[in-house]
Amino acid sequence: MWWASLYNESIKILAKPRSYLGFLAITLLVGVILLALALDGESYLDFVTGSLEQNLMIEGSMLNGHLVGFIVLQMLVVHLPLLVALVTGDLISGEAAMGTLRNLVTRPLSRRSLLLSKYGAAAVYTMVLLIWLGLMAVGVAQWIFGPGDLAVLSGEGLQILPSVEVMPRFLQAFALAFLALYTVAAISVTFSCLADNSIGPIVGTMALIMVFTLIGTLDVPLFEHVRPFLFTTHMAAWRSLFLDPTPWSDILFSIGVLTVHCVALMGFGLHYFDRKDILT
Amino acid sequence: MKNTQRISVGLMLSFGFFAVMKADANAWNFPFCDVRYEENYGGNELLDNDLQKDAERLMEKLASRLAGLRDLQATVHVQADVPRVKVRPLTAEMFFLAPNRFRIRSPRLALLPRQNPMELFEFLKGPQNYRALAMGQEKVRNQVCLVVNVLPLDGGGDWQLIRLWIHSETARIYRAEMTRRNLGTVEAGYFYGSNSRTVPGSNIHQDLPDSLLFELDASMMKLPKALTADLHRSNSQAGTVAVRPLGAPDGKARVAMGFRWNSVNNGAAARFFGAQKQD
Repeated sequence: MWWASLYNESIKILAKPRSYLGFLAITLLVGVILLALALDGESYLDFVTGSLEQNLMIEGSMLNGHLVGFIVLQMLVVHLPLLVALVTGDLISGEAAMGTLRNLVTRPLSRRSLLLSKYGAAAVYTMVLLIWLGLMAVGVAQWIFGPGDLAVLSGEGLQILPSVEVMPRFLQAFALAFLALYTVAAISVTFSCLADNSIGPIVGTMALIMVFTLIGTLDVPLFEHVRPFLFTTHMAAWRSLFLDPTPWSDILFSIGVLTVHCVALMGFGLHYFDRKDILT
Repeated sequence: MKNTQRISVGLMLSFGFFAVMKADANAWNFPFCDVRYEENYGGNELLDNDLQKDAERLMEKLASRLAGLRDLQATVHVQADVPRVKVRPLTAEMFFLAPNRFRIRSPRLALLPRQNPMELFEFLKGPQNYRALAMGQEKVRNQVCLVVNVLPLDGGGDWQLIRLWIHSETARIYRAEMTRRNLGTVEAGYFYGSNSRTVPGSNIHQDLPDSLLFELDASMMKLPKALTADLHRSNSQAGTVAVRPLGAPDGKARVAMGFRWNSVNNGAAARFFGAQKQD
């Protein structure tokens, strides 16, 4: 029954035009970035390696598909939460706004199973969106620029990862990025349970991300103890997978924090939706 | 009375002594220095002459040996130690075709010194391009080496000054300090093993180094902070001191290159560059 409901919810997402906005936006943005890097990528890299190349020579091309994929991911992962919230924030509140939620909960499926299938559909949508981003960012970039060693800039400086190690790291990074984005999806679906229109959950999710990001970036001692437990602190944890050596303890902590957020939000959502007085 | 006489005699003697000393000093101090200068100069001249002859002999030996290096191909293992840059060692192929065709074919991104390892050899091949001056003797890795300053005769050229530490017997370069207009000062250590080869059809021996260690100034190397800053990592996590694989001191970068010479003057590099030209 739950699988059938998940299938139905996924079809409903597919049927909504707004679901394709994310794919369109990603295609356009990645296209623009790839074009810009293909035309002027070398000068962009000169800015990074200029002082290094005063005394040293870099043999081989730094501008390759792996680096371009990494740059694209870095630029777009910031914007993906909005694209995710745009669809997942509408899953319950959209039904309430259209007046179909009451009919929906009259089905033999329990409210919990119904909401779980909504959370499941949100996960499917997030995953498909990320796969599309991966295909565009890494796949197309590799096709245009070719493979090569990945030069990553981080707080530790410049790290050069051998080409053979990059793809497994990308896969792991996408898995971690999925968890981070699913946390956003879980927030917007949970907010969606609380509202009867779609705008509130979408704007509320983005507002929460902004507030948490601000708290995370403000270097105030008051927030020092809170910062590690905010989900926004771990939204870019996927980048750590490109460090050498990989800081697995940090990554496991990020996975833990994000999982706790997902479970807590889904728990609250299920508890609330189970008792919600549905009037529309 | 006796005491007064003694004191006055004493005073007179003292004055007399100081007067003589002063006059004497005026009389022979400078000539003495001149003599010393002459002696030293003469001695040094003698010493320098020996050293200078040694230097010229060694440079001649070195140049004739290097002249035989025309076409080289080697497998090269590269390890770079650059501040705030982490790059793993890699193995690549090196081709050199005299006078100036040099290429490292690497399957991966490699950080190499701007000055290629053969440029010094190529410069030293032409004794008409420089003047060698012996500067003394020093020990490098427990080997007695002659320190030779190589002054390029073309003042406006790229090479400004080369200081070489050359083994007194084998004429192998053990250390080099090269100052170039475009690249600044680069130090290089030359390490030798069993790579003594004879050029086919001649008696020329080439002592190719087993490995080279370049050391260059990295104090001006900076990475843009806007790009390296990681907002999602706290200060305690980011910016940890990286391990320097070659133990380069602060502000310095080192690049080590280990060679396995596969082909000497067998046309491998000519074939490689020829094929490249056709491509």
